[in-house]
Amino acid sequence: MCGVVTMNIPIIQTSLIKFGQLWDKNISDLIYKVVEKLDLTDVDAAFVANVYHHATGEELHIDNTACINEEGASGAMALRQAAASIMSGQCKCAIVLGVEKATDLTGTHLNNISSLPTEEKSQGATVSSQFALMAQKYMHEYGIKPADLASVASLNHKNAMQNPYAQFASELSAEAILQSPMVADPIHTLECAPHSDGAAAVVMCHPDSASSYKVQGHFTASLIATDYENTAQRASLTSLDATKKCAKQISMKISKAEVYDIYPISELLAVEDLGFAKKGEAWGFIKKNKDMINASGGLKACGHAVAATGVRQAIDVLSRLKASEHGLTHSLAGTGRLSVVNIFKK
Amino acid sequence: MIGITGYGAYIPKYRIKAEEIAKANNADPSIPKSILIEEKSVPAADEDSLTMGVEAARIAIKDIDKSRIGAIYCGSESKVYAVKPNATIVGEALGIGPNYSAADLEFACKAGTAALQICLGLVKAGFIESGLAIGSDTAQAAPGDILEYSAAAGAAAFVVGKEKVMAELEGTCSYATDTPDFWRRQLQKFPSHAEQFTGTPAYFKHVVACTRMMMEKLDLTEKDIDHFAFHTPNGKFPLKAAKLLGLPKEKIEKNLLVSKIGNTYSAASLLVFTHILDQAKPGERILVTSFGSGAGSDSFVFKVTDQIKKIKQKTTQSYVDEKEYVGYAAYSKCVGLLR
Amino acid sequence: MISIPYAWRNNRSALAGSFCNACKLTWYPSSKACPACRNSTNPVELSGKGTIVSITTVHESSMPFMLAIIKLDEGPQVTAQIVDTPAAAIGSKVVACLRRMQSDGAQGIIQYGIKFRGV
Repeated sequence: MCGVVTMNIPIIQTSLIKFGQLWDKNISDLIYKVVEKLDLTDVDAAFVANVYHHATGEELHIDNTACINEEGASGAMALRQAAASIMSGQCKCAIVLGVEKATDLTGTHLNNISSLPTEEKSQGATVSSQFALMAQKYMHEYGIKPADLASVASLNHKNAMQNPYAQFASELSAEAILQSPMVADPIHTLECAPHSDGAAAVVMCHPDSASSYKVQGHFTASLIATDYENTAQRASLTSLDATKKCAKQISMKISKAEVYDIYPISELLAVEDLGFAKKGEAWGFIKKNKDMINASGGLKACGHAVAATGVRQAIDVLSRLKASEHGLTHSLAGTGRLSVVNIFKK
Repeated sequence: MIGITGYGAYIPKYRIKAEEIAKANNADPSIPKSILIEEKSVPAADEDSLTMGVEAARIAIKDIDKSRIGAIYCGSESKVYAVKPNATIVGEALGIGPNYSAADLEFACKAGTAALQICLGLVKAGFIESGLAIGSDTAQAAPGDILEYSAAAGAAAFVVGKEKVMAELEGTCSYATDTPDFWRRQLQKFPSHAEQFTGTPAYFKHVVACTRMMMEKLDLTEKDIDHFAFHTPNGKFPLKAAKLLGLPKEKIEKNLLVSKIGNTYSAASLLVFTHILDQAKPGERILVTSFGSGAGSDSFVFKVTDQIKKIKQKTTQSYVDEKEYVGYAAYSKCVGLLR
Repeated sequence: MISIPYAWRNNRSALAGSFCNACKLTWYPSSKACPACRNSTNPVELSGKGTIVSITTVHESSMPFMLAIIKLDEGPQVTAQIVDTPAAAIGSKVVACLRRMQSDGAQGIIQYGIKFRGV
């Protein structure tokens, strides 16, 4: 199981580069830019999350550097490992840096190197096709329509209009989504989270040194669970066990959640698997609790600079919490082989 | 008693009409009409001689003890590799082996009957208990060539053995000469042919001589034979062969599939044979004569036994009837003209 | 680039599954150890018959194709293409067929695998 340890890790600095198609920037450029305004004097450990480029983080010149690749859950995993490292005494003050240059790779290449098992890849399956299969089953069982799925993405765009860091702070109607080319039925091009470039960083320290810094919030719990990499082998197509197992360990009231909306269906499943809504009722819940789920605009509107996303989600959820409120970030690897849920408190 | 102990057919689902091919080539649609071809089978882009052979063989071996199959011989002029046999890929896919003799054979459209003849020989000699013979092709033809109307895809498979024989082998013989009627050079994509020369000196000479020899060898007249299965390069040739042999037209015509599926090359005469077996009654006699360009014919006479009544499987006719039409563009993609 | 030893070891042309005596579960494709409990398994030949659990049409390809998750009669589920069956839907009965999956360019080996079509 998840083995939850209650932490109280102070978050003392954050930095975010707006995700986008940053053609003129290399990995190094993104790293330099995201740490530009940070004070790294006391930082004695670095956790560098990157999926597509084997980024080393050498730009930081920190001996205690670890690189993390868990696909979409890389950033969240890096935060988790940094907190554990601090608590173990291996370091006093850690920077977690997620960075990605997804636009260097074509869509075909991204599909080829995804962590789908060979059994599925050899059949032409992609991350999109497997989530499409989940969506088809979900629609069949709960009566949700493609227009509802499109509206999930549309709502995230509406949320993003308040977010200066969102890649797409603009309206996108469900109709426009439904008219865009089909990727894998029922998923249309315009409801897929884009693959973006970007970087996000968070600096955290040991609770004993908190008084030396301006504390923005606390990292209070990290939950993790796994499931089969092969979508067909999992117990259900309409929920992700990995997320459900994480949710079992959540003991506090969650006021805000940044969930992994790589496609609308993954947002709906997350809302149900995290225990916010009953099966089949996620969309109703999201509409009723407008400021709670993906208030930043989610992966869809903020962009998805893969390894940086988990760190961006942490920054975004923390910034929107009121004092004493708890918020969570939810990240997935592949099509649900791993879920990491990180909890923060203002 | 040795003979057929299992059989199976496979014809891909897709069809293209001859008039559609004529239209695409700005040709006269009376040409395919004159050779009695209405439409032909088209393999899907992910099908080939191997996949079709396996599908036919799966049906053929369904009631057979796989552990006693001692040979797999595959006849094709569209082998999936130039070097690496279809036969072992078939063995692996069906869970046969590893104790079997295997090879692929080429003799144009009679490679499948050559495979059958070899398996019969191995069983009769006592070298193996049971043998699997497959004739399978995804025939190629250059766009605009007359062969394009008939070059089709299909497979037939037979298990030969001594137990529960459903069609007993009464005799087999062959006739071969060096006749350059149709050929394909190494690394060439499409075959070449000698047009009118493919008739009298090739198809008719060999089919007639071999069939006559077979009937004389067994002292049979046409009255002793209920069904004839001749190679079907088009709808006209088998009927003309029947005429040359003095055979009643309907004994050949009733079992022809070629106008609806085209010429399936190594599977052609064998699919007529499976079609006959689907309908045959105990005691009936079947004569099969194939023809392979280059050139040669194999003839077989089988007598149907009571075992045939136990057969319950998808019929050749149902494969002929289950179809979906495609246009010339889709056909081109399927057979790789646009690769 | 297809790894020859990998392709040979993971040949998916036969309907070969595995049965775990401890879990009483059948797995496809075959696995020497049970994916659930890691106990050793016995080989079992599957019928190739199954039912569609979910199905989509994938357009991220040179030609759209149907992809489904199929529950085989013996129990295991598999992601596989559906061929020759435009009307396939959730609940449709299907049967395995051997098809050409991919080849390593014009010179490399050809890989065969199992797809499904409606009965």
